[in-house]
Amino acid sequence: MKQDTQNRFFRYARQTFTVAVCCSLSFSTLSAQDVVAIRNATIRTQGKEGVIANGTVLIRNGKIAEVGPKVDIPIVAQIIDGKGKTVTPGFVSIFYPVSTRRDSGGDDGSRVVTVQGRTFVIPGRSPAANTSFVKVADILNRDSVEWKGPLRAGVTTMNLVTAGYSQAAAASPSQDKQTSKVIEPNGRVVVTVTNSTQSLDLLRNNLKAPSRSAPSGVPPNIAAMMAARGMRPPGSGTPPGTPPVTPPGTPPGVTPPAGATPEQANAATPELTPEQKLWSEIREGNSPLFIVVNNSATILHVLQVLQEYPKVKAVWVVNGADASQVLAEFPKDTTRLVLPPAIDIVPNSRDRMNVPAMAAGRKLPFVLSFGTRTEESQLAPTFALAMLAKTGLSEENALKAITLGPAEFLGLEKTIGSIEVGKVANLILFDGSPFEATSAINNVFLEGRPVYED
Amino acid sequence: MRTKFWSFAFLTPRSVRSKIVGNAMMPLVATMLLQPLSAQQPAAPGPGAPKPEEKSTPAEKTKTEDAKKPSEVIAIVGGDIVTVTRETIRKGTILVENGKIKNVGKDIDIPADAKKIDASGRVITPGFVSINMSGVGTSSSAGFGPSPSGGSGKLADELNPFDRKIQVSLAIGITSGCVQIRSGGGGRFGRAENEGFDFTERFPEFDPDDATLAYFDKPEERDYGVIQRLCACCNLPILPTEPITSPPPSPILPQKSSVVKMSYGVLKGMFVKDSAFLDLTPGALTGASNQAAWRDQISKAKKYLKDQAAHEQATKEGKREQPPRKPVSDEILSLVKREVALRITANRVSEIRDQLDLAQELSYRLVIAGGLEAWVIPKEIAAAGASLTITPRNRREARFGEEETTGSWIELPRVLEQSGIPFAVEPLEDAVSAVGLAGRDLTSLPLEAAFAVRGGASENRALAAITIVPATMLGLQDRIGSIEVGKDADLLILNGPPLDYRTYVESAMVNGKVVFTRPEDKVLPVYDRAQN
Repeated sequence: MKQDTQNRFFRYARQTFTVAVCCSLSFSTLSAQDVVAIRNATIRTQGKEGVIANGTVLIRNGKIAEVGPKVDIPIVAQIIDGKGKTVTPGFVSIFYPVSTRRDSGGDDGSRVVTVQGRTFVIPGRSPAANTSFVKVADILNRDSVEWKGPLRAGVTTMNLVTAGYSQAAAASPSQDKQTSKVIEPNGRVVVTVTNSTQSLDLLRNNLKAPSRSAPSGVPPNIAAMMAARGMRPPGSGTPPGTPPVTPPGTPPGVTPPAGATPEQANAATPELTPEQKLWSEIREGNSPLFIVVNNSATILHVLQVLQEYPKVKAVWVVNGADASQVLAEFPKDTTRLVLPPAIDIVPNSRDRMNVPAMAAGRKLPFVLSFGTRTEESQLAPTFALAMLAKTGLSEENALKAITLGPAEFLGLEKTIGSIEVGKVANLILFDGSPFEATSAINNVFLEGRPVYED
Repeated sequence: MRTKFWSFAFLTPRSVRSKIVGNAMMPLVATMLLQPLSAQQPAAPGPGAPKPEEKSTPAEKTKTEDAKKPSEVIAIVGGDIVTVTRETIRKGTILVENGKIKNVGKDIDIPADAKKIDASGRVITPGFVSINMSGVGTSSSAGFGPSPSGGSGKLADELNPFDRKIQVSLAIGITSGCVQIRSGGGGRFGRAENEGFDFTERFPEFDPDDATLAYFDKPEERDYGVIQRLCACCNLPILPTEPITSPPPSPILPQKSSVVKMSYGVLKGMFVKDSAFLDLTPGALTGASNQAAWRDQISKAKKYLKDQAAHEQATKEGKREQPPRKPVSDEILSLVKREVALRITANRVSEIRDQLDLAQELSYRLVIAGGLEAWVIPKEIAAAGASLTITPRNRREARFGEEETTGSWIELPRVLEQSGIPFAVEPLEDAVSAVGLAGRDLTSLPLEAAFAVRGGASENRALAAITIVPATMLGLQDRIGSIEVGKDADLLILNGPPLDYRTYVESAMVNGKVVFTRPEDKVLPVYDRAQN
């Protein structure tokens, strides 16, 4: 309240006496932590204001308080002169793999077991064959994410995922810049798919509306086997008096649906498990499904599966060459792409192509995966972006693809992704245009605080 | 040059780099990157002008775009149509709609909105059918060798329509082929090392995680099995010795073959038939004990079919009884039902006779692979109703003193044709190979058929040996193998006679979609000989 009166007073004073500006500078040191103003900068807001050529961003309490060509800077504000510089929203890394204990295994994951004198090699499982569900927020080791590099590249938000089948979590670095602060523990469902029966069955079985006889998570062949042996799959009703049966034949990797306690499983009216709830959200198109594919054939296979579920919104994490081969096959309304920020080589040739620009031409929503390559955390993090922008992708689309676009894909567009009043003040100050190879990051603001200074 | 520049740009400290890669250098970087891109976009206004985003590059216009409109009518006009099963039509027209051949003939009304493909001066043939191919159209990790899905996967889920080998196959005219599934069947002589093993199938109640800890009482048992005795003097376990008599023959497990189309870039319609052949390894039916096991299985299958028919009848009548237990694999049942043929390698006269006898006795369809000495006993083969897959260039020396009745003979194709024995031609190797001597692998299929002509067969018969005959062997004679109304539009437009070594496939159509064009796909040389 006191501060408000002060501000009002000085606003009035500044209109009358230009000398007052000097006073404001002397006051600014008092509360520099809370109020910061970047002025005279080119502001790429990604919001309604578009690009403001000579504008000011006012940060208060970690949020963006005001942004525009003419903003009254309160006297308490720490002023950063942005002449010739550019302010962009903090970058959002849409797909940042973190390792979990589950991933660590042998070289190829194969194991040798001996049964009654006979030796068997159980082949290793690819991530796609790993059908057990993992919630990243539950297993995340908060200090396992190395934030220094990403912060230096301007990444202020990350979507943390694991290989295989998981529920992602969105995170920012916490104030100490060492550990992660999970901002969305209930993130998107991520599933790695290959063109193999087991992998596609994971999709098919989970997308199917759960029924009492075939609960999600247990493949039909296992369910049939269990039925033949008189076992009851989890989730189906057990006759009263019988003790709960755990299927001893359940193979590794096929776990009962996460969170299905025996009580729940044996309830007379089975409720949806948390995992099944997630899939029903996906089925209804309320939450997008992240599908990681590593060849173009898999995309066609998955599209065939998804034909039965027209509401499902798919976010394809795919490399450019694979995407280019099937761009015409993607249904426009339900497709979003996550592409690497790079010029790709046309398959079976030496020609080059700009797949993000091709996707933009087809009006397919896309974002660029950012923050996972070492060169991005080096001196010119937007170099790859600049290449794309120089060869056919508009600068606005390129910037959107690593800021507001991924925020939208993650459902965080109300708090991050653009420079608009009320949003979290995650900002990057470039010393030139972010689309010039010679530009570097001057400063990164995390919730209004400068966390990296060149 | 570029590589050099890149590493330079990334490795030097920024302070230095910003001086070197100043504004003066930046246009150079841009041009270097732009050059290959603008080469693809000839319509771009200029190297410096911003490119409109709506422009799509030619690379994007892959087969998938053509594939989008299945309902339109395509008219292939002006070509000489080699139908294989009927007369050749000079300067005829083929109408294609919904992936099928709608009409073929000389005077055909072409709908006004039909998309015309001019084939004047060209030869149109049905797409070739490869009776035996491997490693084409499936991802390398699946279907062959150790599979990520533990060998229990379905081929339909593992197809890869973007396999480069599909384009190579199309370039020489193969539009469909029979693929052996090696990991699924479990061979007669055990599994390959490291092959996918479905543990839960064999030991449903066994948890491999606990195996080494809980399952065995003693560590020796884990390593050697349950030990009966220890040696009295040294106290080491007495291991079981190998039995002196040979073990009884295990049931013969035939391998399965599926039919896939070479529809590059199009998954829909690629998988044609799950089980086309029953394949047995060459030695699987030789020897008395193997043959006895085989007879046993066939008779079990026959009995099961009878029992099942009786069971179905009983169910209709309202009786409730247990269905009979299936004693053999589904593949053997379909063999007994004559839905598929047995394919087995037999080259010597005695081997061929053995197989003919078995097939006649147990009444299943038989396809003899190899058949080098078949020219000795053509009448017996014809009488048994068997057919052959031959490799005309394959040779074998006659035994000394038995030159009239052993060894290969170049005139085998003529003998087979004159005896009315259907034969298909397959090359020496069943895979697409990029190394070694050319002319042996799958891409020599039409050349191999041409060698049948050299051996005395008629040209039409040699062409049939890579089209309608293999199609019939696969049970797909109603869909592929010839140009007839109602069949799948799997067509080739050739720039010469089909069996001429100089002939190129100009474009190939699978299921009514153009999936290969010679200048664009750059598999074979694109220059035109006529212009040189």
